[in-house]
Amino acid sequence: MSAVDKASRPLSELLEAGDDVAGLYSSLQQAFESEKSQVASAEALKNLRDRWLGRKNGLLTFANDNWLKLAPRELKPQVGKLQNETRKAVEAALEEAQTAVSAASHKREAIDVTLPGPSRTLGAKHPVRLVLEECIQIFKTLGYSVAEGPEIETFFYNFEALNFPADHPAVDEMDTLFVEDKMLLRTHTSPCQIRIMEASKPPLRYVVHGKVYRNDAPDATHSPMFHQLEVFAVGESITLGDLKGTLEYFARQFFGEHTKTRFRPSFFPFTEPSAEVDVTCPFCQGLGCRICKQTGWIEVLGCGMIDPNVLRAAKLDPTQYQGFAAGFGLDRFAMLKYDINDISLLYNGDVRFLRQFR
Amino acid sequence: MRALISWLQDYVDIPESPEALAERLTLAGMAVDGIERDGDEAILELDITSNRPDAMNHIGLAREISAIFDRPLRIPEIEIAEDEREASTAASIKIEDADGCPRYVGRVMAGVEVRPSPDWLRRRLELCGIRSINNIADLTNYVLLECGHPTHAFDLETLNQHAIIVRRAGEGEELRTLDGIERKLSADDLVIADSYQPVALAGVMGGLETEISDKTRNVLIEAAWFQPGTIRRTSRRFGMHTEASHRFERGADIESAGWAADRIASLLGDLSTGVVLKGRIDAYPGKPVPTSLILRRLRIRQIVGADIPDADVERVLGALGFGLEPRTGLDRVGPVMEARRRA
Repeated sequence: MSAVDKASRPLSELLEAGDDVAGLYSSLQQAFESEKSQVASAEALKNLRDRWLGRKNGLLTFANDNWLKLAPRELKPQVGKLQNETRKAVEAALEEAQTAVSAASHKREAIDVTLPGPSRTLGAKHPVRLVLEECIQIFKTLGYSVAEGPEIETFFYNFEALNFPADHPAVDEMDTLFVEDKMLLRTHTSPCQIRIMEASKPPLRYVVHGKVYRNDAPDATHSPMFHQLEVFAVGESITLGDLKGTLEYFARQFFGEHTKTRFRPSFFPFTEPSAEVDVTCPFCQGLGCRICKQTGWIEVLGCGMIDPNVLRAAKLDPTQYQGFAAGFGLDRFAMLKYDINDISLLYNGDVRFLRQFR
Repeated sequence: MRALISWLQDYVDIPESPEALAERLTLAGMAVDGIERDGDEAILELDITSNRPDAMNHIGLAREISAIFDRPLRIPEIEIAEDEREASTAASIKIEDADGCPRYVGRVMAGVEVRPSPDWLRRRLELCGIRSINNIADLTNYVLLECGHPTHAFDLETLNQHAIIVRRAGEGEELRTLDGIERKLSADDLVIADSYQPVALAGVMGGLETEISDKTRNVLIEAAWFQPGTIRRTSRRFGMHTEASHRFERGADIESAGWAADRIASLLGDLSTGVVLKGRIDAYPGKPVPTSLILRRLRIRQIVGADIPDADVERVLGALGFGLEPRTGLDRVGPVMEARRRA
C-alpha cells in the first residue's frame, strides 16, 4: 500500500500493521515531493494543489480525518504536530512552485526584440509645402525675410491700397468672396506688401505666402482656395533690371540651371510696368511638348515695378523709394514640378496620393 | 478678341508669317493664345489686358504692328457724299446727364434699303465671331471691330418726335432689349430715350422696338461715350456682357466717336442705297482737356535700370501715335500724350 493510499485508512489499522506515525507523515511528504517534481505547467500545479489541499477530497484532509481525528488520546499531540508541519510544508512548497511556474510563463511571453515593432505610418510633407520650402530657401539665400498676413482682409488692403479703382473690371475678374461689408477673403497675398511697408522702413526684402481665395468654379486648374507666394523689394534704387535678375536666378534654381526666361508686358493694377514671365518648358527643355502646348514656354508668374500709387497708399514717398513685386501660385508650381494634372488632387486628402511624396 | 490677318493688312504691311507676328505681338503685350485657319485666312485669337481697350480692334492692333515692324499705319480716309439737307433738321439730340454721357454723336442716313450684307462683310464678321444680321446692323459691328468704338443704329421713324434724350431711367420704367427680354429699369441705369420712353440701354444693348427692320428707311447712327462705371453697374445688374459694354467699361476713346459715326456714313454707299444727311449732330458737353504727361529720361533709367536711347523712345512712342513735344532740360524727353490711350 502506497503512502498516499494509507491516508484513506484509519490510523489504528496502520499502527497494527506496523507503521509508525512519524513514518506515515514522512512517506506522505515524500510522495508529495515526488509528485511536485513532475509538475511543469500552471494547470498541473493547480491539480496538484487540489489533490493535496482540496477541502473535501484532499489527501491531507483524508490524513486529518483518518489519522488525526481517529488517533488515540495519547498520540494526538504527536499526530497533530506532524499533520500541521506536513500541511505547512506542502503549502509552502506549492507557493514556491506557483512562483516558479508564473515566472516561467512570463519568461515565455517576454518581448522578442527581433520582431518588427507595431507599424505606425509616417506622415509626408504635402507637395505644396515642399515647393513652398524650396522657394523660401532660394529667396532666403538672397537675403529675403519671410512673413505672413491675415486671410480675412479689408477692402482697403486687398483692393484700394493696391490701386484697384472700385469700379474697375479687375475687381470683378477677381470674383471676390466677401465675408461681410468691406471684409473679404483675400484674393491675393499682395495686401501683405502694404502691411509690411506700413510697419517698417525700406530697404525691404520679403517673401510672403499663404492661402488666397477666389470665387472660381473648381476644375482641373482652378480651386476656390489656393496658395500664393509673393516676393517684393523696396529701396531707393531697385530697378526692373534687379527684378529680371532676381527672377532669372530664381527660375534657374527652381526649374533647373538651363532654364531661360522671357518677360511679356502685361497689366496688374498694383505694378507699372507689369510683366508676365515664361520659363522654358522644364518637361521638354523648350522643344515643345504636350504640357507647354508645343510652344516651348510655360507661363509661371506675374511681376512688375510697384506702382507709385501703392507706395503712396503705404505712406512711402515714391520720389524717394521704388521697388518690385512678383507673385505666383505654389499649387501651380507643385503641379509643374511633380507633373500633377488636377489641382483637386492637392486638396482631397487622398492618402494614396499624398504618400507618394514621402 | 479675334483679328483677321487680311483685315489688319488693310492698315499696315505685315512682313512676317502669322506665327512670327503672333510671337511679336505676344512679346509686345498683346498675348496671342492661338492661330486659327479658314481657307486663306489666318485668325489670331488674342487676350488683350483690361488696360488696353485701344488695342481691342483691328486699327489698334495695326498701330502696334506698325510700331513693331516700323511700317507706316494707313488709317482709312473718310469721304462722305452728303446730302444738302442738314441732319439736325431730321433728328434732335439732348443730353440730360452729362456725367454719364459727355458726348453723343448722331449721323442720319435717309432712304436706305435694309438687305443682307455683301459676302466680304459677312465673312469678316463671322470669322470674328459675330453673326451677320443685315447691312445696317452689320455696318455698326464692322466699325466696332475696325476702330473699337461701339455704335448703334436706330430706325429713326420709330423714335417719338425723332428725338434722342440721354437720361437716367425713371423708377418703374421698362425696356424690351434686342434679345427680347423685358428689363425693369432703375434710376441708376443710363438710357437712351425718345420724347416718350427709353429706347436703348446706353452702352449695353439697343431696344427691340427701335431696331433696324426690313421696313426701315431712315436711320440714326449713334456714336457716343458713356462713363465706364455706369455701364459696368448696369451690365452687371442685368448680367449682360456685350461687345459694347466690354469696351465702354474699360474706357473707349471719346475723341474717336466722331470718326466712328463718319466711317459708318462713308461705307453706306458700298452696302445700300440712300443718302447721308449733312453734318454730325454732336452733343459734346464733356469734352476733356487733352491729357499730357512729362516723360523724364532720368526716370526711365531709374525704373528700368538701363539706358534707352532717346531716338528709340521717340521712334516707338511716335509710331504708337503719341504726339511728342521736347521740353527744356538735358535729361528730359517730353512727349505729350494723346487722349487715345489712357494713362
